[in-house]
Amino acid sequence: MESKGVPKRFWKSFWNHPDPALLCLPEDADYVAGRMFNGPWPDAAIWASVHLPDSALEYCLTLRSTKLHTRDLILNALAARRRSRSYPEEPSSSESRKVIQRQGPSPLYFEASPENPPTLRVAPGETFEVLTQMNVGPDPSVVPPDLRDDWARYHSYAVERPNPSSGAIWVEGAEPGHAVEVVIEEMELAPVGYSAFRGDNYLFPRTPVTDRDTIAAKVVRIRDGHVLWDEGFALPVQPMVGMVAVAPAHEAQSTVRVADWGGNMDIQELGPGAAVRLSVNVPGALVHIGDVHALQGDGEIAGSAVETSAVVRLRIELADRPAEMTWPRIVTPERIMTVGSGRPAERAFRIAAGELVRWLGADYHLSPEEAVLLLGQVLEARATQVVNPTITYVAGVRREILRRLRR
Amino acid sequence: MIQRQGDSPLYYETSPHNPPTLRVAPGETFEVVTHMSRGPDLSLVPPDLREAWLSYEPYEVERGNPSSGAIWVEGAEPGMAVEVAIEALELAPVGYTIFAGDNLLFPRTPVTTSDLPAARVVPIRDGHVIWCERLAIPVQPMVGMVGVAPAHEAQSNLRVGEWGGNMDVQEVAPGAAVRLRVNVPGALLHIGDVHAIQGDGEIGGSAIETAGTIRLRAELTDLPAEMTWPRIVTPERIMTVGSGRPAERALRIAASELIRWLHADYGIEPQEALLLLSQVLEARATQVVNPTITYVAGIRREILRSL
Repeated sequence: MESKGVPKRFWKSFWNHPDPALLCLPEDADYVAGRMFNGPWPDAAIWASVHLPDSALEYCLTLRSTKLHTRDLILNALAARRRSRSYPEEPSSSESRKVIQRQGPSPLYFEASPENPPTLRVAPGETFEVLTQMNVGPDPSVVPPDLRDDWARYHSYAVERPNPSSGAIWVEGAEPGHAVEVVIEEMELAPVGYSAFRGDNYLFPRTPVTDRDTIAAKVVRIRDGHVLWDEGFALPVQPMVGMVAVAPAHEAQSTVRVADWGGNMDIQELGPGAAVRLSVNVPGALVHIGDVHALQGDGEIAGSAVETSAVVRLRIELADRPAEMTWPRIVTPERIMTVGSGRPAERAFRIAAGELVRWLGADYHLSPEEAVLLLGQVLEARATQVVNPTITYVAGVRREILRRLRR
Repeated sequence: MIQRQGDSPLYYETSPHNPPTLRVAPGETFEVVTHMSRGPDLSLVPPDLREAWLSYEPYEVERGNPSSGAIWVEGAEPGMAVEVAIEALELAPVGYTIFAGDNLLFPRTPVTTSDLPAARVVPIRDGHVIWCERLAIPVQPMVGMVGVAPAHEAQSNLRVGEWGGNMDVQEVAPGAAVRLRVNVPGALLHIGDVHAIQGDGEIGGSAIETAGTIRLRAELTDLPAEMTWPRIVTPERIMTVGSGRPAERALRIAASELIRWLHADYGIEPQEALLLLSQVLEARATQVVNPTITYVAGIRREILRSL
């Protein structure tokens, strides 16, 4: 909001204004917001949702001309701003030699899309932060009274759809033919989270004889590295980033989905110290990140884990894409892992195991038959979630075993 | 004097009609000597292993997964559960694994060209599978096949069902126990298919298949009303087993059985149990190459204690 005017590239929104160069912010903010939100240009609306003051956004909500999906965008932006204010200010350049860039939870994207305007530009290897937005949780009546303040701060009912990505990160120099490696350095969880079962998912479908009231939810405190599940019953956290995607090549895909471009993989290993490698499809890669869990069981069988908001500190490295790699890979200090997704679960497993066999062939010189025989004995594999549109299977092998194979 | 069931006769079906070959009392410790499944061609066996290899008669077995006899448990009746507790497991010094080039996970296609089957015969020594010169993998001995006679029919020992069978669960090992629902008087336990080590999914179609001497006992209890599939108890976890196709169905069975168990024994409402398991469940497909997939679903006792 320091800038005094509207950037020239958005003057198209003011085509009938005598001279858009004269527009002044924040004085003309209401007028500017009305034009930018209600014009046909999504990039203008997103700029406005990031740069115009709260009062201008609220003004637009009062306009009858503001369409429903624009209202969602504005509500999400306002909710995200409230939340980002509750985090400590980022260090200013005078205090810290190196400023860490931060992607706030605005705008929220609900698709991983090559058309999403980038919201942050990072250099390969640069450490930066992403504030992720919690999914929409249960009804306020479920929230224990002592958690209501934090719930209001870190959670927003205005987030209309699940698994939003906090913006889209442009990686300088990323081009098709490269792979990005998204390295999770640290995660700071919000002090509140929730889990809910909506009475119907792929594993436990609603049937004609199911009690229609099978809806269960729990809002929990997250403190001192534990999820406080019940009085006297705490579970240690295992922070993880559920959704990491690059823009697919040809289309926008919901961030609820999982595929070769990554997405809602829900893999417990994707926490601090681990990295995910993804094939770059479009210039800049456009990395989409969201859906942090404090803790998740195998299969995520209720349909949700302990969903929360977080500050994720990470960096993105660039490398050539290995010729045999067609699906995401996860690397941790202990294991190398592959990811597959599909239905039924066998198909997801087949992809993951097949990718691992190919990887062992390329990097460890095992023939496919040798690799299958060895993995028959030492493979570690499981479905991490069975509740998204397709199932995620991971297949991994310990580095300790691989070290002894390297010639 | 400990009773011992030798590896003769070999039964290839788990059947209520198999004549019992050993009678044990509940709680009595006894031994079962299991036979290796049929191994790969002798030309694939390293020369220095051939003598040991042939002494385990790897070509005597005509079909997969033989059971060493059928064990009659005194006093076992329908309405009870039998708990098969593995006390110790001694492995033969040689084993093998084979990938026939065609299974559910990696089906043969018209364009598959590689020269299959692929096999490896390995020494098992000092608690390790000697995979190659550079790589020795620590053993994790397990009993792949434990079944009781089904109520109405004979079932191949390759299959998995409510009666147990070819579950291929790595946790069925010394210190652990399998609980099965008794269908016929005497229960008729069928035991075989020892593995020195097995990866998740058993994706090559076989683990390190070997012969073993299992020391075990069978305990009898009333059948829990809510139990319809096998259960596994280890010092660290309680686990349920489900089997079916696709794998989702196997997980659904295992997860539901665990929820029912938590409700019955720990007083947790089903919805509460589901929410909790969504955070702490440990589950995976132990094999995806038998006629139906085995899924196990478990929870740590440590968590149950704090409940």
